[in-house]
Amino acid sequence: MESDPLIEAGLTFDKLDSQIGQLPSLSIIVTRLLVLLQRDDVTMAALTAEIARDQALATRILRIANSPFYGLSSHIGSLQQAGTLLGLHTMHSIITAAGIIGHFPPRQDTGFDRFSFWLHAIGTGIAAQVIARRSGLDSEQAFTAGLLHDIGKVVLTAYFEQDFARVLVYRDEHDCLIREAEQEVMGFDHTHIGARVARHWKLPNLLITAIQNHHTISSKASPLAELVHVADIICRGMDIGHGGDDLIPTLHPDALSRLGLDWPDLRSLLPEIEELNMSAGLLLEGLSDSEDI
Amino acid sequence: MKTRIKIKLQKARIGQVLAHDVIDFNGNCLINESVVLTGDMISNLQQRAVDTIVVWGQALNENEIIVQQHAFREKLAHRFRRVQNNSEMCLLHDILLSWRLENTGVDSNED
Repeated sequence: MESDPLIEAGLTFDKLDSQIGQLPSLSIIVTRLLVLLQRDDVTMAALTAEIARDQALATRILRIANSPFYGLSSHIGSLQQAGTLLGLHTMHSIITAAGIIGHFPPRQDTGFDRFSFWLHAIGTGIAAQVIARRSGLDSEQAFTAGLLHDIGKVVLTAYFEQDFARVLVYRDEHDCLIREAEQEVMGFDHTHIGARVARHWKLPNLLITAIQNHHTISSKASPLAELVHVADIICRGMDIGHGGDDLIPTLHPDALSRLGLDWPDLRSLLPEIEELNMSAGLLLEGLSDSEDI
Repeated sequence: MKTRIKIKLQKARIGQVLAHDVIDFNGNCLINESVVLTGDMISNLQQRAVDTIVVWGQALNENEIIVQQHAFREKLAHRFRRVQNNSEMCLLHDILLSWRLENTGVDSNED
């Protein structure tokens, strides 16, 4: 049988591991902040002192805190004020978003709309946050997990451009989910890449497993992975941003009930998800150092 | 049909077009009518404690609502085209469709 040139040319696990090891690390300050945020005894003073060491990050965080997304009526002029007005939990989300979205190089022409991608990522974060509140789970952790669930895709577009171009060709020729195209072309998908990158960046284990398992829900899946699984599918159904294809993955039949939800519950959450997403573009504008993200 | 809509500033979105000048408490014009809102402008208005603004919005007539509903129905069906035999996904499809149809033509930004 003739070999498939797409698969032959594709990225391999070995090549991936070796290249991920060479990817730029998150800045030392962002890494330190993510470690600090995992501690139960973290104080706002310690966080703001660390943020202040990276002027670009501090500026980005203030821009986000002042964006209409957070709806504060007065202008926030300092990190201390941002911490006092927004609280530790919200600062956690802002710091993670500012540190990671700001990490990626400017958009390249890969046939992938990165702005719409981040809108989908933020939308999934918002949906996960709204569902978490109803399910009694940590809503800020849910936001972060939703925001980062497809980080493997943006790594593919930014650092493995040729492999990603082959994925897009396969997706278009076979009318399939982008994840299926990734598996066919490379033998693995963005969840594997995302989990490896998250590990490389020393993100918390809970986040790593949520990134890795949000498409492969089993009875052993963490509530965070289930939350992201449901949030991702809801966002695609509500047409929020663009996750890389125009199909919808299949919802795991037990995912809702394991989160303590039923269908009427889910429907009742849709207006809030849509309302919060209306200003997601404003949050995204605050996250970027330029318009070209 | 274009119509003027008064909205809370916190619900303003980038890209909306002002249908009236934005005036502060002292009668100064902060932004002129017809300007397209940017994120910086919205932030600036927030700093100046502006509460509401008037933007151009879309008030749909009955035919436009039908067209929009049809378009959404088609788009959703397209997105769900590979999961039509899955009962859970059919339920999700119906929930999304009924929710969207109920809300078509209602600008949720409108006060």
